[in-house]
Amino acid sequence: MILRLALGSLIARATTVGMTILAIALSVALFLGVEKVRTGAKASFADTISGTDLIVGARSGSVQLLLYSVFRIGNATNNLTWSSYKDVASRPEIAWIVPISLGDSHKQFRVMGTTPDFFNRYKYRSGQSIEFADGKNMSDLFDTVIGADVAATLNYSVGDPIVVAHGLASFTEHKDQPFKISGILNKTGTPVDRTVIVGLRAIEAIHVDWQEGAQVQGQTTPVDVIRKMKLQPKAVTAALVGIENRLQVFGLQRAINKYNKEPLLAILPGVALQELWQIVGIAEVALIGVSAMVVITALIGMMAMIFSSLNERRREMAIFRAMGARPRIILGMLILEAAVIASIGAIFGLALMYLGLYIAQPIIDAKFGLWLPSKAPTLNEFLVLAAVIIASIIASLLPALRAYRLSLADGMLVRI
Amino acid sequence: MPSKGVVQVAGNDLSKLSASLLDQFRVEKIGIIFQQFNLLPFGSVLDNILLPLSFAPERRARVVQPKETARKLCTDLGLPDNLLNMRASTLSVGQQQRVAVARAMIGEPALLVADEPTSALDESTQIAFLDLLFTQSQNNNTSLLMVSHDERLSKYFDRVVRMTEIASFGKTTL
Repeated sequence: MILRLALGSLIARATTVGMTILAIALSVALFLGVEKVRTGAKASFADTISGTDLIVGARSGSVQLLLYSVFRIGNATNNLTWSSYKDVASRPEIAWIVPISLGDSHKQFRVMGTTPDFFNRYKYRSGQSIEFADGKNMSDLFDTVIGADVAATLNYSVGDPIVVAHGLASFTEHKDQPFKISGILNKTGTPVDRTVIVGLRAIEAIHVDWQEGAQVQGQTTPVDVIRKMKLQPKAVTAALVGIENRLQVFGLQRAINKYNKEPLLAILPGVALQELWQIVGIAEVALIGVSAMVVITALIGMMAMIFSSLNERRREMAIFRAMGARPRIILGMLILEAAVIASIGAIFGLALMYLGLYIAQPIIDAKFGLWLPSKAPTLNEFLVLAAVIIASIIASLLPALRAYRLSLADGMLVRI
Repeated sequence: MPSKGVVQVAGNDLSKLSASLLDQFRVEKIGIIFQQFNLLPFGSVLDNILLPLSFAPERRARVVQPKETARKLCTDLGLPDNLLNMRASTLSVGQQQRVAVARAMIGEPALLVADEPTSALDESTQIAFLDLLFTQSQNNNTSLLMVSHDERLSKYFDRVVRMTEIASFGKTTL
């Protein structure tokens, strides 16, 4: 019955209590939401490349190789010569190898030369293949497949011609050899979305009249002649490697790293991703810190609400005292009140987060390529909720102790 | 606390009880009717009447069926049954007063203290209310101690003590 009366008291103050619950619910939703985005981003980051056992490139740093080969950030300082590539490709451990060649661009997007096999081998989000939204794989020398973001940003569709520029942010274009879009890829949430993919031979083809990074004056080889050329690349930027037996991965990595004709580097994508995340991860700590502060602010708000309600409730507490309730019971009632408010707030917050997730999920996926799975709450999330409730009890101790002292002093005689 | 003599209620010397024992003693032995009634506005009539029992095991033990006892008290006090589950704040002043009486009487405390309970009532209802109070006190074998400014009520009581007889008022020098 005392519980019922305590609840009645809460309901009698529905407006202020409701606002407090709302504040706690919103802060909890924000905290859980940030946590969801953080874990989602981390998972999505780790999902950028999967199914590839090794990435091989010229010797630099593992993070750097990962950045330019997978994320298309920065540049390769050196290339992998074609003969080294052939040597690696001919090793018995290797199941498949896909070369990639970077260096040119189209508008703000990078151009990547590779083989049609890339579309079968490159996997993301634990083994998902890239799919064509429209059109098909490259078949002609001057065919290109573009990522979803490229198509959306530049408003391209299948059949459109595009001209590749030499280098990055450059004004010299390979105007003589325009490409035709043969396919547009589905959104993947990986850097592939922002890549213009052409054949490895096409990269050679557009550079036929170029030497040492500059166009040879007055020399324009007709396209028909280019088509008949062998177009064997002299070098590629990196290669994605799949191996027969995963147990051989470290052996192969060591063998490539010790390759004596050219300094090469083979990295395990997962390990390099971890290293990279440790750098990016500082932001996630900041994000958690900010959302934790929001929760603390809401709890302090609740504490202020209880404090300010004490005066109007002195009479109520005096009545309880007159009916024989010890000050201890008054103390307990106020703590219980805080726990109830925080619990309802926490549960609302959880519901709010799922509602928000339900609404925002497709939008975030489409905009940022970040898929936030709406799974059942994890143990971690329940721990967060429990922490909020415990923190609310601790926060309520201050006003509750004040009420205890007030009710000792007031006794049962309060006339307000 | 008295500077001379003893204050005894139901055979207990109050000056010998600690603060928390006094709390306990008060709720067990004394039912109090406040001038302002002091009902919990958000509680139902029934909750208000039964509230003292939550803190007084002796009184609780005397009430075998709390709800039935509360209902009977209400009937005796002239409160209709359908009020029991209404919130105290929705009642009229007269009804609130009766609820306050029922709350003070439940569990048959030895002493009923009433602090100017009739001051809000007109003369005819005052008499009717006192009748109720007397009947209930007699039924429960409870002593009634009532404070009032109204000299005319003195004829209804067995013993009348005027404040002027027991306390002296004068200028205090600082």
